[in-house]
Amino acid sequence: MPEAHEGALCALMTAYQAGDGSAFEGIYCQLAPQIGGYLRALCRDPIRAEDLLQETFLQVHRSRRTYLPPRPLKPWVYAIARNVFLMSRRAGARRDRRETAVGDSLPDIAIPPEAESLADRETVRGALARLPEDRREPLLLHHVWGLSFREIGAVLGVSEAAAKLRAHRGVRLLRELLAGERR
Amino acid sequence: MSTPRLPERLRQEVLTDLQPVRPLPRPALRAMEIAIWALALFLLVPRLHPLREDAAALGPWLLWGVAIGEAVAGLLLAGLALREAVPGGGLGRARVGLALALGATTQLAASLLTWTLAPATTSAEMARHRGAVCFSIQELLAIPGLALAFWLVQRALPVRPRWSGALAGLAAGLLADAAWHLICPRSDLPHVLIWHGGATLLTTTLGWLLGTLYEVRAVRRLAAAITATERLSA
Repeated sequence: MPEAHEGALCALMTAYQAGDGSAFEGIYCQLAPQIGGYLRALCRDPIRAEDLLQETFLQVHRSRRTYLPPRPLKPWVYAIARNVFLMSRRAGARRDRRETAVGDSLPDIAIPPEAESLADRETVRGALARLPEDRREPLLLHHVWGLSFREIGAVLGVSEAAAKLRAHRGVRLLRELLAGERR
Repeated sequence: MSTPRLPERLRQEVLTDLQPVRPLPRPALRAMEIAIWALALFLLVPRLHPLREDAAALGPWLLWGVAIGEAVAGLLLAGLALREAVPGGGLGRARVGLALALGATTQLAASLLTWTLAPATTSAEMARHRGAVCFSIQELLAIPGLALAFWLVQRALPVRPRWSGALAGLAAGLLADAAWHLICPRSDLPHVLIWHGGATLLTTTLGWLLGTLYEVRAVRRLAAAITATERLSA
C-alpha cells in the first residue's frame, strides 16, 4: 500500500486545489484503501461501502475549497467519509425503514496488529464486530489506520482524551472477548 | 496490495469541473464578515433610534463597554461556529455545549451588570407591550446576521450542521442584543430573561433548525446519488 505521508498528501491536495487532476488521482490512490476499509467497517457491506467510497471522493471533490492547508488531510477526508456513512444510514432508514444488514463479523478489513497474536484473523474480526460502535471506531482508526487521537477526536467530534479513552476501552474489551473465545 | 484505480465515473466527474479553487479563509477571518455586519448594526441602530434614556447615568463603560463586550462574545461564537463547520476541524460536542452555555451566560452577565449598577424597570401594565417590542426588534436585527452566519457555515460543508447552526444563531442573537442594549433602558431580570433572552433563544433555535434543514437536504441528495450509482452498477 502506498505510504500515506501527511506532508505529501497536503502537497497533493494543494496541487489539486490549484486544478491538477492527477493530484486528485494521487490522493485517491493513497487514501482509498484505508477510507474504503473504514467505510466497510462502518457499514459492514462491501458493495455499499464501495458506493460510499465513491460518494466520499465526490464530496471531497465538490468541497475541495473547504480544506485548509497545511492542516492534516486525513482527518478532513475521514470526517467527510463518516458523514457520508451517517447520511446514507439516515437516507436508508428514510427510504425503506430498514438499517443496513449487519453481519456477525466485519468484512475484509485489516485488524489491529496487537490482536494478531491473540487469535486468528476471523476470530479477531468476529470479536471486533461485537464491540460497541463507539469503541470499535476509535480503536480501528488508531490501531489500524494510524490516526492520532487528536485526529480521531476531530473526526468523531469528541475531545482527544475521550477518543483515547474510548480506544483504550475498546482494546480492553477486545482482549476480554478474545480471552473468552480461547476458554 | 495493488494500487487502487480511480473509478471511471469519479474521474469523469472530476475532469468536468477541475477549476482551480482558492481555499476558504480561516474561520477567524471569515468571522470578520460577520464583524462588518455587527459594526453596521452599531452604527445604524443609534442613528435610527435615540440612545436609551439612562445613557448619561450609565456612562460610556456600562453603555458602550457592555455592548461591545457582548458583541465580542458574539463574534467569538461566530468564529467557533465557522470552525465547527469545517470537516475534521470541529470543536466536538462537549466544547460546543460549553460555548453555547458561555454565550448564554454572557448575555445574562451583561444584563445583571447593568441592573446592579443602574436598575431601571417599567410599569406592570407597560411591561408586556415593551417586552414584545424589544423581542420583535431584537429578532429583526438578528435574522440578517443569522442568515449571513449560516451562509458562511454551509459553505464549509458542515458535518454537524445543527450544532454549527445553533452556534451561528446564538452569535447572531448576542450581536443583536448587544446593539439593542444601546437602546432598551429596562434591565430588570423578568424583562431581560423573557424578552431579550427569549429573542436570543429563538435565534439559536432558528440556527439549529436551519442546520436540520441543511442536513435533511444533504441526506436527500446523497440518497439520490446512491440510487443513481446502484442503477449504474445494476
